[in-house]
Amino acid sequence: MGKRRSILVFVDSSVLFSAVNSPTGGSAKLFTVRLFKLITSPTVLAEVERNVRNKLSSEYLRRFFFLVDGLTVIDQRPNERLVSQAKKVIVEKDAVILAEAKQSMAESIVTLDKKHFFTPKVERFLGKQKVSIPKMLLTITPKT
Amino acid sequence: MIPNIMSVTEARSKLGNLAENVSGEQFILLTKGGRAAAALVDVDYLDKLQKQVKAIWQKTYIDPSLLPYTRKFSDEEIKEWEKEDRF
Repeated sequence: MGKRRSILVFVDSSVLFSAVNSPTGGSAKLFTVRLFKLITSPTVLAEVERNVRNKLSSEYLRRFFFLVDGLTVIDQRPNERLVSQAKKVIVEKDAVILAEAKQSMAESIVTLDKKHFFTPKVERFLGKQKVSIPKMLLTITPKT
Repeated sequence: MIPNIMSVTEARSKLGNLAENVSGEQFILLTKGGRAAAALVDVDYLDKLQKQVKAIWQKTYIDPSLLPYTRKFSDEEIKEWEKEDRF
């Protein structure tokens, strides 16, 4: 039986923060599934770390570093042109992360912000890239 | 590591012996009114812990030039994410 190709998934700030904050949630579970190659950007890391430091205790910061070790951090910086385009399809607060996700060329983008990311405008903006929440991605995982 | 637990009153009379007995990661938890009030810890172990905490806080992925692109999460959205993330 052939080896299954891993799916390239861009992890957004809501998912990384939640994986740190809640070890039993779907976001944390994603980090344990080999089927996914989880990637993120330096901007997501900076945003999540800033919030972990401000809102959670040092134990969570340690968990943040542990989880980041399981991610591939892509070498990219925010693209101003893409961010401007993203502002036209999503609320301003999420435009940077949406642009980062688009720029990453990941096959799938995982977020917990259904309200702002699951819209026809965002879908058109992302083209072939598909948006999911962790639970949705985990349902396509073979049982281990 | 399960600590030895002892009241402050009980420990007072044998502090010298207790200090000699704490070593490595073994420590003694001192209670006052039934609640943990202090711990008697090997000074080398305390030093190690302090260094570990310092190392954790010094490590960072925060690139200052990226901070203008980041934002503070609100408590409301964190709660929403938790709800959505339940598995």
